[in-house]
Amino acid sequence: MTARPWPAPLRALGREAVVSGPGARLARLSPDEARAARGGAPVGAASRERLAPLGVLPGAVDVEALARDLVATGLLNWAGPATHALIVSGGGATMTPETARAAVDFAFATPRPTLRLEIVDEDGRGRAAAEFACEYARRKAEWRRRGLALSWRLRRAPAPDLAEFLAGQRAAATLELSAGGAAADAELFGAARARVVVEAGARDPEGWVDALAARGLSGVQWEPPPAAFDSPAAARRFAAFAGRAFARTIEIHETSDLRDERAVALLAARPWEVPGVELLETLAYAPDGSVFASEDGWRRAAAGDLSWRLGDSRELRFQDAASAPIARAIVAAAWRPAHPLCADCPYRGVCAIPVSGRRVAVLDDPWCALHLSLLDIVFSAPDREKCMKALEKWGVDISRIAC
Amino acid sequence: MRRASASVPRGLYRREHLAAAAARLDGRASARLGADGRRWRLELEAEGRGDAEALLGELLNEALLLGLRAARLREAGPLAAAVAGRLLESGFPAAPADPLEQMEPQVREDRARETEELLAKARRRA
Repeated sequence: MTARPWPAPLRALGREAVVSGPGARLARLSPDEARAARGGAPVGAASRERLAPLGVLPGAVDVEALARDLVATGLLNWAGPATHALIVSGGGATMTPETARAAVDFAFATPRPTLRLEIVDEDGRGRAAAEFACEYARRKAEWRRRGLALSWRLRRAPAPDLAEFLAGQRAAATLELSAGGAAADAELFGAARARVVVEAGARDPEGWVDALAARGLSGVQWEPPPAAFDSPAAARRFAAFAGRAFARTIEIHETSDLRDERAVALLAARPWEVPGVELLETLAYAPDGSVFASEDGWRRAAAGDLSWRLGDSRELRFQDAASAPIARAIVAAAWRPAHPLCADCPYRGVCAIPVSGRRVAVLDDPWCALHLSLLDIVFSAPDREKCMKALEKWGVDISRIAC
Repeated sequence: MRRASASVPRGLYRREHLAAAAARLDGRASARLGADGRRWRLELEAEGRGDAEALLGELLNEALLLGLRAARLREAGPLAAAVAGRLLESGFPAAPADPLEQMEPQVREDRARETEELLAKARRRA
């Protein structure tokens, strides 16, 4: 019988490959298996058994495992946005405590049992509203028995009084840094997490990871610079930097608590929880009380594009957000197999790409480049055991990644 | 180079996809389409200092993408529409109201007072 190509997305990684089935399970294929997948050879019995949960081989499908996976990772399992970015000051406007109250009330009207409230004080003038929001959200979480993670984004290490306030509220300080040079320039004192914008001149990703780990940070997110949204070359530079940083994070995991938050979110295989995905993962609250589908959507409003605005937090009900035109577009776009360039990507089951900042084709998008880079590292790591141990330590269900 | 031309098979490129792709070059180039047996003949003139060869490549790439996108939508559209429809119809339930607040007016009042105190503190800080 002639061997046929497997009806599944395949990505070559050297002589090996990575393959995925209809759900969000992925497998690394040996050179022999990769040849079989391309239709060049029959597949062996051991491989058939190993790959059965993926549902890619006719006659060798673990139907129950596949069904469980499709239910667990399907879009219908979405339970509301996880992250609520409260922009207490920005673009010359400052939020009042009353508006912060309306925004926190709206966040608690969303159904997810555990919420993350991220305070964004861009101009540094929104502290009154920010402190109120933290205290009110903390009380409200106790009243409603909801899980709450509080995070305050800062451009520099917190002053002693703010550090004391954050400790009292069990809030994490997330430093917003710019990797325009070497890591030694960064001031990391008092931070628990970091969001690092990888500027054009960024160098030494390993040094950055070592510096963040040495300060005891628990998480890092690498962010693309604005130029990466216009230039495919800049997007690739950014992805290469973040990929090397991720590889270093894996390498030092035994001696550090640092984890790459985006890689962990991708490997959790709930694409709607990938950071920054409009409406599905995140909502943003502007200083005037407007609810936006994302922070990027709010930034675009400053340039006159109000299409990402869902309504006013004082009037909007969460159940009515579905009728906003942008909500329909976002939900329809979340179906990855309908995207021509994503349909043949094996990572489509775990990936989601924020689209509000997009100005280029998907493969040139910095998020796409980054996700490919991070996931390629997982599936081509020379030391598989070390990589899997790191991922397990970070809470990833490695059973769905058959490496 | 200001002008570029290409001859491509009609079986691979549909006329509407080429037209839609050409529309995306508006302001950067103008394109002309002619039929030559089983092939399309494309002529493109770049405006400004654009490279006509690169723009023609961009046009053909975009036309292929549009074709692929249309095929994918035909394939995945019904299921995608079903999932999106279900999500939009019933996927946005609000969190349930707190039963304690609903059943115990005193709890509601205490919490409202505590919130007012927090607000008053914040106003003093502002």
